[in-house]
Amino acid sequence: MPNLRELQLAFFRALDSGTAGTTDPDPALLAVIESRGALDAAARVDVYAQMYWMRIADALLEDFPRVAALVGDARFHALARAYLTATPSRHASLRYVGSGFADFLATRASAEVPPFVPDVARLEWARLAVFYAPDAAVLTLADLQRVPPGEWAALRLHPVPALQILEVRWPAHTIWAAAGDASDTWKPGGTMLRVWRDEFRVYQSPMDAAEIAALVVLRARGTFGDMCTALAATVPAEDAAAHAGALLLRWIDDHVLAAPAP
Amino acid sequence: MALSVPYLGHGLGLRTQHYPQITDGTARADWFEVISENFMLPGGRPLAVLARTRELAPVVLHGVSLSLGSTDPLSAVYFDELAALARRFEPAWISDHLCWGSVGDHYAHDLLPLPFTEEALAHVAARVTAVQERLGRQILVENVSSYLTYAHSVMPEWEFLAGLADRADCGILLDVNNIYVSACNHGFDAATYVAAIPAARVGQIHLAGHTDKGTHLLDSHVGPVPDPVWDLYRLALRQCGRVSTLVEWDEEIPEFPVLAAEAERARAVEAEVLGAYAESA
Ligand SMILES: [Fe+2]
Repeated sequence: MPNLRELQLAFFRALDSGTAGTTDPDPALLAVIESRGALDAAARVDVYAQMYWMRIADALLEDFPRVAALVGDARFHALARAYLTATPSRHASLRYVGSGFADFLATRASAEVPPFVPDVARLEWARLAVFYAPDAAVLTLADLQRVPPGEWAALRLHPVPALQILEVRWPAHTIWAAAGDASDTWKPGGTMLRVWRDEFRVYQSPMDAAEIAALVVLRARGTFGDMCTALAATVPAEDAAAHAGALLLRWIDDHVLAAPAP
Repeated sequence: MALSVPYLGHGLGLRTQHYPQITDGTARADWFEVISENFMLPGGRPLAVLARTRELAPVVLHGVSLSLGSTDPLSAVYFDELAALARRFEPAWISDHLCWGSVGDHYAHDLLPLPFTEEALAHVAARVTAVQERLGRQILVENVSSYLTYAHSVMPEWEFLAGLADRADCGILLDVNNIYVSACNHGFDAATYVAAIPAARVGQIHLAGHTDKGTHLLDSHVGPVPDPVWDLYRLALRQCGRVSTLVEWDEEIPEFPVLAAEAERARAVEAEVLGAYAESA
């Protein structure tokens, strides 16, 4: 007779083997499960194995709809099964069940998984992180207008938590927007994406070299002065301040800068 | 100690599909039940919706991953998140299930059945006691649907549940659809189950639909509440008096008015069974 711990470990192993397509319960587990009516002990364990796998597959499908559209439903399910077997859920909330899915897909990139798919998965995951990121008050134009001219160089601006910078090797934002067009005409092209939210809508756009340089400075807690210095490396020095000002306006518009601490 | 949860009337689940109508106040219920884990988030829309909902109606937190029967240690991270939700949203009560759902640090995200043994009862009672101490309040524990039974169980499920409520001094969330589903799947009498439940411990009732899979009934939470489940509800009301009741409908979720009509039907059944008692209260 297994004790409660042994029973649970054997039960979970049976669920896990079910994700590989064959529920293969421990004989010691089957021995304590009653057969009744149309279902014997193994079939009863299989009811749970199927539910375990389907619930998590559904959660992954909800989190990665564009990946599913790109690889097709059947392949997505096969990949989700293999992922779950390799990476059982370690968090009480299904929200985090897909945290390793993009990396897993990268290990499967081949004829089975087109090479741009892992980047699309990373973008979908970043969009979720942004969607559920902590709320924060955003910087307004009025906040900036209150900054005395002499204090601009030392001014520190902080991005809100709901901002992700994602480096991709494929134009994931374009492929994402094409929703399910798995054509092999996509060409590799490395870029940095800014992913942010305005109210509860999530957006992404590729950044140019100047925006990347400026945002890197802000993320490292640099000042507006540091930002202008960094920009001078990507635009003519005399344009750096104007460029920095234009970037600030764009970021304020997009709600990606945090309000100053009170 | 007696169970102290208020009577809130007839509630509904807070589901994404209905967020707009619930937050603008056009979709109403006496109270809302939310799945705790779906709000264990740093920020974003679900928490904003819950904050708005809480301004409009009482809320209760219904967990699915506390894993009361698990032999893993209780998760400190889970407690912190649950306690934070409870502080922020002041739920009328907190509930979870009589089951296990995680072991070896892995979550099944399912409500897995426990053997009804002395070992399991002592284990779950100690866990519920620890949870209640940690949260500083009693919790309600819900019976689940099951698809298998263990040969080494030494008591029926109703005796296990009643024993747990007594030993841990917790409340019961009586899901009469789950009783019906398990009764059909395991060949016991649903009325016997209800009759064995200590009325004073029942703080909430769940109603729901299920699906006949041919070989077994599945607790699918889909469709209107079937007649045999309404009959069990009547039985439970006769035994327990009025109890806050919630209709669960989680698959193929219909427009809100269809759900609200189901909650109104529960209110009508309550009035029919309890008559003047419900009227005068
Ligand atoms: Fe329930």
